[in-house]
Amino acid sequence: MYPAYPYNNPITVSPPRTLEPEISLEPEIALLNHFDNRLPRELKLGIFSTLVDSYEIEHARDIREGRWTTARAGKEKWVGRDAGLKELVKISRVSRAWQCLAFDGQLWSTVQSPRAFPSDLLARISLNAGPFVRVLDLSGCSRVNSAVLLQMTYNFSVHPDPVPVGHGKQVIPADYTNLTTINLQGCSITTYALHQLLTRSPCLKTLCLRGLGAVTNATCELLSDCCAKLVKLDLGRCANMDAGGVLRLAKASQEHGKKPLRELRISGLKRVSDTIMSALARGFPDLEVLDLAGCKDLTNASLKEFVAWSDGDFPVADRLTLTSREMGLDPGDPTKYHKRATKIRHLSISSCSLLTDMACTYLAHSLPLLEIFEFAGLGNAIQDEGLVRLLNTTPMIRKIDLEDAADITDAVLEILTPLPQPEVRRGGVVVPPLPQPGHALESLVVSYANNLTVDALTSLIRACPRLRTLEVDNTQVSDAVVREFVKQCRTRGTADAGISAIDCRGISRGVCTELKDRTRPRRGWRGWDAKKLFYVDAADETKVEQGQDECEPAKVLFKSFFSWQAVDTTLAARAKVRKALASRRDSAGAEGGAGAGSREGGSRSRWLSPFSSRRSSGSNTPASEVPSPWEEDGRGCIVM
Amino acid sequence: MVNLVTSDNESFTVEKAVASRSVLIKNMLEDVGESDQPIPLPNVTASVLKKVLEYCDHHKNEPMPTSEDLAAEDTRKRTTDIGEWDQKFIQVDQEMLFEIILAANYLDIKPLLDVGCKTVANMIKGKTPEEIRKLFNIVNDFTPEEEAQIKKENEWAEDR
Repeated sequence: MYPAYPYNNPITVSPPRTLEPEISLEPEIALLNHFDNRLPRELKLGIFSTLVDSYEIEHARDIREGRWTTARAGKEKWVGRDAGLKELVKISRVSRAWQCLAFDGQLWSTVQSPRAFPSDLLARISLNAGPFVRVLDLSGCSRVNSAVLLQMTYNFSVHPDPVPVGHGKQVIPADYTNLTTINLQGCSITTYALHQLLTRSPCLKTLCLRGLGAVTNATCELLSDCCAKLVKLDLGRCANMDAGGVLRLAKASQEHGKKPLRELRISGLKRVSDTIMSALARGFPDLEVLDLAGCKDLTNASLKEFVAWSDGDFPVADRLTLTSREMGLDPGDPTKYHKRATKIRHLSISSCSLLTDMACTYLAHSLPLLEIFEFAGLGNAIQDEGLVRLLNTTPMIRKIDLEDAADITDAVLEILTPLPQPEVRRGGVVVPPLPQPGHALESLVVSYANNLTVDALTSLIRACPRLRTLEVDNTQVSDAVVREFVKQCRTRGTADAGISAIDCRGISRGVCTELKDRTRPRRGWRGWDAKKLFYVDAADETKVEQGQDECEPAKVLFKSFFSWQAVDTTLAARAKVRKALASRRDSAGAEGGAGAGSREGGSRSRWLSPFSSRRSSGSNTPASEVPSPWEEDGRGCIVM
Repeated sequence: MVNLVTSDNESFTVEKAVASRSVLIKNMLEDVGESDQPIPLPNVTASVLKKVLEYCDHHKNEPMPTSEDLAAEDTRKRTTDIGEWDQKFIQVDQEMLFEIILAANYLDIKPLLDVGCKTVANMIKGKTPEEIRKLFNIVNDFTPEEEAQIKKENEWAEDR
């Protein structure tokens, strides 16, 4: 920290307050308030902004330099930008002038409610910050109700002056806000309040109304009329709207001709039909992210409609010409077919219970840019055939979720396993090989796929250089697969890697013990909210005596039955230690604080006593003699 | 060499490299070209300019921040620390501190302005409102009722 400055304590006494008029005001004149009197507003705001930033920078530096540990995170609730904003609110109490400065719109262009700012404070901020506000993120503020939102809408709005139109008449232009991002997820608001805000937000680019009961089909209509610049829209799980609203949005977009929407999340939408999907394709041809998870009415045919080609509706460049074989039809048929090439990068069609792998056959070739594909929760409806056909045409694929697809076989894994390619030279220049599906694979979820073999999984792990997450719960995986995964991740230096192999018969207690030093049982993180999870953090302890370090990203996350058991054992042991420490502290307090210096040393013996008493009586038990959670009891997993 | 004249009519002759730390003076020199004419600085007094020039002289060989650097907020954010020399340099009384900030702003010496702002921010940091009032001789002009109300509103922020 910086040294204290000599002027921190002015020589003279504090000035009298105006509240005490009996004291003469003379000393005040002698003591000049340089901050308020000399600096222009811009510089004062600059200083306040530096103040807020400094918290953010310090927190980032603490993390970078390893000073941000679990123990510290459990003590400091306000960190980073939140701490800075809290400081800003605090200094607003200094004087009226400072209050006005601290809530200036330039400092609050983003109104993001950190950890439940009370709603009256939000209202106060909105009042001062006014039309400066660009980002309004109230996600999770369940206390924000319609009245608060209406008040905020009014405060954020620019109220233009009336424009005279002659004959003594004047037109009052509509109010508008400068908001570009709104997130109201989790707020308890009415449709009326929501619509008041949306009608006044023509600049809106990102809107998240996920799960709001206030959203109806009328909201969609309003969005298509008032918010023509939307790029990202999340209307997922809004129970009071259905596909009719989305249809209107899509139709309106098609009519306007401007189609900026790139991201549309409408998970759980009711009454999705062929018409809707066809309208989506025409209304939003440049869509990159489409979330249709849990749309119970979505059929294979609707998806076929989404990628169907029709002359005149789409740019010719997007037309694909495919053979009958490529379409998954009779290979002998010479007919040519057309499909539309989309720009979709992320498609989620998980838990759409009417779908089968036929959907993938329809989508094949049309998703050449696909990076994330979610197709989970469909059980036996997914067979290899369609899946293989699709994945063959998605070289950029990064993440695949096929959880529950119990019938898939090694054929799917083989498609995702890039083969070594011979070097091709053309005119002495090395031609870069065409990307193969799997070269970018980061995450693969194939839990419950019981037909997958150990060999296929092992080759995939070896061949996919970017693989970071592998979920193979309830499969045939063996110790060897886990060993290979951990080895490859360590060699490649993959950070935050993880393998989940819960409910696998092939995983033994032995491999957990063997990989103990290279793995962690939980993906620990350091934060106030993680306090109750009691992650083990090696940064806090010179030596982790119980359990494994859970906060080191270089360690591979390994979840299995036995590692969970170890977590329980560790947690119980550590809870005991905490209790012992607490009771010791109490008794020490009763003794009048005597022996405070030896407390640390004393606690050590308590630490080990529940385990070490069997083997050694001394408090200096060598660490190797402490039974590890792996050997704690002989119980294995009996039912799997 | 460049000749600078302060508001109290004192003139300073400094190297061009030193004077050019100020974007204002640098632009002026570029506009005027080679000339012996003194540059008037009506917003800066001699005592402040002396101090500012001391800073410029110490940093004369460092690369000037480019307009791209200034555009990228991140660079400013990344460097929160005040250098050792700068820290000593800025240990002046409050009046001088604010005068330096004003001069740096007027003369457009961004790094010096940053040092000044950070120093003031550090003075404010972690202090209670009462301590801040004492620090800057600010009069608390809230009525007791208002203060009670604000205090109540801020209760949520009191826990650590």
